[in-house]
Amino acid sequence: MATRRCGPRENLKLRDYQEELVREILNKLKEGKRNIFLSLPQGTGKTIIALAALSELINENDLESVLVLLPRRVLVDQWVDRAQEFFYGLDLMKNPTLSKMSIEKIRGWLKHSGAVGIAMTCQSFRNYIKKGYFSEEDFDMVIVDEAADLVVARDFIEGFRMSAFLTGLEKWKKPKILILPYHVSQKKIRRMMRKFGKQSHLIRRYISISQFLCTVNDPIIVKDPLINIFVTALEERYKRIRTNVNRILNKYGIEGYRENLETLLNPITLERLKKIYRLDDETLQQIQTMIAKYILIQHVKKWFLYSNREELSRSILASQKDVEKWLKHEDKKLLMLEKVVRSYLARNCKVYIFSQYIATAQLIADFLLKRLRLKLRDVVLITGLDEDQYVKLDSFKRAGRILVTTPVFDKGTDIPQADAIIIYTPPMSTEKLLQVVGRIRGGEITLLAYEGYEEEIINQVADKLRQAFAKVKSRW
Amino acid sequence: MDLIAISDIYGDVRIVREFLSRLSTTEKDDRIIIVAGDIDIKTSSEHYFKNVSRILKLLSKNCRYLIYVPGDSDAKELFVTKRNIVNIDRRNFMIQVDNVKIGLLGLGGAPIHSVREKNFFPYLWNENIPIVRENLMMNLKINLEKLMVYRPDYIILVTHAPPYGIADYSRPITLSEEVLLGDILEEELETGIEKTRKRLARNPKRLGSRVLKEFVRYYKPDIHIFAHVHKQGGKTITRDGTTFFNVSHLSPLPYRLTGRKFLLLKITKKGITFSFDSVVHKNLPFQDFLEIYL
Repeated sequence: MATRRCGPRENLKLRDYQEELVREILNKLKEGKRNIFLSLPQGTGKTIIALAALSELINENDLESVLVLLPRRVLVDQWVDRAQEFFYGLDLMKNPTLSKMSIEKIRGWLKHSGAVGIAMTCQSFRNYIKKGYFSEEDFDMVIVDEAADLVVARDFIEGFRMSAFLTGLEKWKKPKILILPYHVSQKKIRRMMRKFGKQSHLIRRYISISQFLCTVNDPIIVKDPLINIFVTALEERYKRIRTNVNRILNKYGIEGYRENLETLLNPITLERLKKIYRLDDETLQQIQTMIAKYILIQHVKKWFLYSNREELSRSILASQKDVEKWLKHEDKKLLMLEKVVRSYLARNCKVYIFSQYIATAQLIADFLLKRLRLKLRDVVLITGLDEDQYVKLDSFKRAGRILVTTPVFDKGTDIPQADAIIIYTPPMSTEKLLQVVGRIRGGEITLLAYEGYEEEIINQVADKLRQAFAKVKSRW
Repeated sequence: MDLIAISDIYGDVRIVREFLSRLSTTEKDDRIIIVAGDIDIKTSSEHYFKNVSRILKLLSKNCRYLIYVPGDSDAKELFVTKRNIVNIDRRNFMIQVDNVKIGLLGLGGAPIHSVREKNFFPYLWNENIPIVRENLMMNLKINLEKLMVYRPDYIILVTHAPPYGIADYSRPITLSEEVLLGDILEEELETGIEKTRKRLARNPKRLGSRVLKEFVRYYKPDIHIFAHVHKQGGKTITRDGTTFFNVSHLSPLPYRLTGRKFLLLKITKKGITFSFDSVVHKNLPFQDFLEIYL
């Protein structure tokens, strides 16, 4: 069989720092390092660097089969497209789940199609490994992109633990390149590296790219006194439940779990507590009931803040006189959003609206379509329920005016066509927020908040974003 | 004519009394109450039939007709005899009030795929077996045909299970969910849940019946009232000429947030208006409301 050759196409000219990083990756692998952690800021071309390193490795070492693991379906499409667009001889096969092909066919394809490897989601990886369809022997190399969630939530007893989707990968002896955004803390990366053993090496560079700097506008405040009454009452209830749970934990001398009380709903954790601290069934039941209630209260609070009227109107709360009144008038936050979007569209800007929840995203898309009298192609709604996320995103890039999404695009996906981003419901953490705003290349960031309780939170969020961008500027 | 639809009472006499106290006594002759199943739970209890009878009779005193179908947690036959209490499970019934003719037909129980611990739900049917599926379909068709003889103004289909694909997306109904109601023996629980835990499906999926979906699609009743899938309770969907209502659940449990619910339909020759309501004290301040009901 002829030796495979691959490399960058004419349309790709690697920047100096990219070439330098590719060389560093190759050198470290030659030195015997097995796991290369690459941590770079958004927009520095992490995917291109990894692909360039891969093409060199294929040319030098005659690699035959590479596994690329990605957290989202849309990134699988993006990776495969990038590889084809910018490199010759570097064809990747798409996630088998999407191709709906039998595993025998996929294996056959991998062998005979000339593809250098397969790109799949972490979820598919877990399923295929569990079923024994693939194993370490089938691949010469592994690339994990957007590996920030490779280890997940700190747990009192276990510390950082491997993501359930990629458990076992840390034991693979094949070379790996693990790509992370720069905002993932060094401490977390070190913990990850510890999981992968001594043969790990971290390449972490700060490369500033001016075109990525966004302007964080002052949050737009929406006046609705009723919302503040609801949310404050729910917040008080939530705090009271937390205090009660903490009281029980203190009584039994249980340490930890306070940051993430939901862990206590896990039957294994409860069993452990029962054994170690001798908690009786009644107390366990009491803890579970309180935490379930506490989660419920959190949800309801978000329904109020994030316009989830559909769920609210089906709930018992819809019968309370004030809520009933509130449900009768139009959602003031949505009306404000309409105003903001209208002003962007008047300036001929393309707008990207982020919502943490599917129901809210659907509501926003329907509302704007109706109120702004737009054409169907103007508003593109993409959620985790869509199978054709990549095609829909492409339709926004080419023809759409408003993109409404849930966290499906929070990692890695490029949406440079959008001129502004409106955060309708902020993500849970700063790390995730930076990932969301990192999708656009410069432009404006607008946040909406109800006056009062939410206003304080959103002001803090805006400050964090400003600080993050100021930090970038100061490094120039 | 007022038509009130409730379901999933789970033997809670107190909530039934609370519900009835909200209805005006003067209009009871113009009122029809529909119960879309799960009247009580724990059919093995010696008090089961007595309690079911008590609930149905209590309701029937406050309306012209009480129409019901048994749910998956009920016995298939409930043996309640009273002139104005009508079981429309696999039957039909014609009502005329104020010149409005309403034809009702029903189907009790639930498809077997919609529950997890199959042995503990007494009224299930397996629509994957062709003969069962054909029988169910044939029965619905015959009942519809019988109703059409009277030329009703409206046809109302009452089932416990939802049609496939409409307000039916949830995790399979579990025994432990029912246990929240505190009415299942502990040993039943252990055998029902613990021994089979590993094999049980947990992911959310469509729990509705394909037979009902097909029937509604081709024979288009005006209204389809159903329950069973608690988390989708309160949903109203209009599709292809049929309005679907998931009326679960009147009992405050298993989910406090969606419980205490009933549907009110006002039916005239000109049309139908509807609203969902809850058995609560509406005028309580929000904070007190949370404290009491959530």
